[in-house]
Amino acid sequence: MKKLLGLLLAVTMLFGMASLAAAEAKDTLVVAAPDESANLSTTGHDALQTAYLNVLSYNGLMKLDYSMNPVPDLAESYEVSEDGCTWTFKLREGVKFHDGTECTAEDVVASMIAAQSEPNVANFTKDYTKVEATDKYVVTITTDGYNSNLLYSLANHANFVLPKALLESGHDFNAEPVGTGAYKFVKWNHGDSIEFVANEDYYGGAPAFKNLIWRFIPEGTTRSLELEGGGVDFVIDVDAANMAGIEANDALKMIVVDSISLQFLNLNDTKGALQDINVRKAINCAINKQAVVQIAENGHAMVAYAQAPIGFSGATDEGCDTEYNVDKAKEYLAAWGGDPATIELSIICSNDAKVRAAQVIQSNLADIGINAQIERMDLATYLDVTAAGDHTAFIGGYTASSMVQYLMMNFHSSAIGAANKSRLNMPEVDALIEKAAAARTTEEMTEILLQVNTLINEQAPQVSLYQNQKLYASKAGVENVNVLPNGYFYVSEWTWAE
Amino acid sequence: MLKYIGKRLLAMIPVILGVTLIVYLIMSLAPGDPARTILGEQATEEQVAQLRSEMGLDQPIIVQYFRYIWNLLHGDLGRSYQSRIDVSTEIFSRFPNTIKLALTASLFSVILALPLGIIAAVRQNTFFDSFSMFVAIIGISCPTFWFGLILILVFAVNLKWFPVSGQVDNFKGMVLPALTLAFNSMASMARVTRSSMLEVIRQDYIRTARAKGVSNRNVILRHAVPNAMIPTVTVIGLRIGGLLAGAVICETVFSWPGIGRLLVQSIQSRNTPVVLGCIIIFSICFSLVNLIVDILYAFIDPRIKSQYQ
Repeated sequence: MKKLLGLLLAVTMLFGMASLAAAEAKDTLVVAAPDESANLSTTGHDALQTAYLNVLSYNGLMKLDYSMNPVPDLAESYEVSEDGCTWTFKLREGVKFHDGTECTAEDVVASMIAAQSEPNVANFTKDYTKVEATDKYVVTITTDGYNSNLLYSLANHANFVLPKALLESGHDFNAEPVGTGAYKFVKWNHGDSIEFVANEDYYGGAPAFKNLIWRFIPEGTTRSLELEGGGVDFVIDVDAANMAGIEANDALKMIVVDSISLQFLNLNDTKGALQDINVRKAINCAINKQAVVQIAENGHAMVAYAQAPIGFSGATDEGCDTEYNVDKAKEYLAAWGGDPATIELSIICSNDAKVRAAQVIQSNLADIGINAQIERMDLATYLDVTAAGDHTAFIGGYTASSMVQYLMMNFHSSAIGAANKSRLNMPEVDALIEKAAAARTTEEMTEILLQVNTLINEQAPQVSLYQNQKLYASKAGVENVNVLPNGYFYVSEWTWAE
Repeated sequence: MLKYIGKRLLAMIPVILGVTLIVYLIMSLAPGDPARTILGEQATEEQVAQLRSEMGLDQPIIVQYFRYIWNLLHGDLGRSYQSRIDVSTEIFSRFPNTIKLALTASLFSVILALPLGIIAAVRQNTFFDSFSMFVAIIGISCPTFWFGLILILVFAVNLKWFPVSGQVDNFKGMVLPALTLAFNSMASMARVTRSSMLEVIRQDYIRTARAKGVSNRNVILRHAVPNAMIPTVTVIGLRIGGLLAGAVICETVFSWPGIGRLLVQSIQSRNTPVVLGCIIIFSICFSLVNLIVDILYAFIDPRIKSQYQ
């Protein structure tokens, strides 16, 4: 009997040790993402889904902290000259690329010069005019006057650092990324997944998860079911309809982030009646934005009134109408003096959520006599039509890493034909945005941004609708997950606890 | 027979050229600029125009088309506008997955549909007949999207018998997507088999066989089934062709890395070289499946075989 008990004890201990080993052996993290990146380069895109992957494999001189402030990354420190035109960055020594070579100032210079010729990321490379390696570990960047936006741009994937030798040899970074990041690229299974392995030499310390599998699961419900079924550990872009099921499951957790991505009804201010400020303000007052949020996003968003996203310093509601008020809308139309039935407004939508938002807007505008149409277009057609300025209206969104960058892209006249699709062209606005970019202190910049935002709010070039919440979910064991308001996250900081 | 096969293979060349011309024209005439899609919203009009010029998109459509055909004749399907990877690499990394899924689904549907259709016909107007046709109607009416999610919920999430999605390299990973695809095909195959069988078993030669004392089992399996197979094989062929090209929804639900999803993504981004590459592959597959069906006719029905000789 004793022998039998002893045997049972031994077997139990063996199983116990085996399960302990299994707990410790959680060395592979599986992430489910909705979209497959077309390429993995740092400069051939401006898409968040690819930026997630860039952040895994690369570093820049700067990175954004969780409050969206730029902090040194590959740079150890930096200083700015008195005239604000020369920025000197001291690099960390001993940082290795995935191919084993050391990252030096020459690599930074080669990467930033190469990035300047890429149109996809033009907005993030125009802040500097010259980049030089003044020492093995010192990079000097020249700007055209003081430019506070430079540090944000250096934190963008556009300016991530690649090995100079590989750049010069014509290495295909689209297919095989090589950087200094926490995860090394292993294999791209097209249409299915990308495999990474931890960079044991990562300057920030080797990541907790030795292997990372980045799966592409386009269907939202399938992503959530994979999480419930245990096939993945972390889900990007949880379908709002699946949130309740995840929240009810103790083994899973939801991560909800108030984003700085602003969704808006863009109005082409150069077309017909939309040239009149009263018409634009009437449209703004006539839209029940709470209803738009409920119908388009299942309530997972924050109603927006200001022309620029709330969350950055310098954002303000000052100067804009902040209520749904049909009577006031009618007053604005009366001040315009025309017949609302003659206003041409065709709202272009490129996905289902936008169509749902447009349906609410269409119904609201009918209350003030405007007959809006809804046009469904695929992304390619939408981009083409709106860039050419052939539209009257569309529902779109924009995510920036700083207020200056947001204003520069959406309201500066130099961006007409690119992202300034309301085609606002006000020299006063341009001058203030440029002045904010050149401000030397945060206080000074905030003051100028408040001025320019108030001015833009008063012009109502487009109608802000809401700021999304970004929805992520993970197994309860995945810890230390933090997400920036722009959607970035650093997997190298994540850990696992049973 | 060999001469016939050779003729049919040669006839595929104009078919493929015609298909490429039509698709090229449609893609060129559709609104949306590939250069703008590649460069995104930040690019200026000048940068977009420059890229259009570099890609040769500023040339007349007919010049672009003949350049494409010239490269195609040299075995070059071009490069993807988006990923800048060779189209042949993009397609052939996914095509085996599509083939695997389509063939497994076809196998499942044939295994389920033929007995269902045959027994339903033999036992016409019984409970089994009504039940079989009820299942068939459910199969035809059930949206693939919904059925796939239900299978995932029941067999992957709750029972944990199969993985939820992906896992193209093991049979367990293939079962749910193949069943989802097969369910719809099975339904139409079962209905065609049943009606074809009903027609055959009322023929005089079946009555003669029964009068001669041939067992019911032999009458059905040796006399009725082979004669009822012509319409069924036609439907099977069409369905296999359809499964190769039309598995997009199933591929999306199960995140199956197949060619159907690649095609839809490429159409949306005006990625003409990939669209054309996919269409060429589909055309070849469809033509080959039809050829195989025609050859099978000869083996099923000796009267047709005699026409080839």
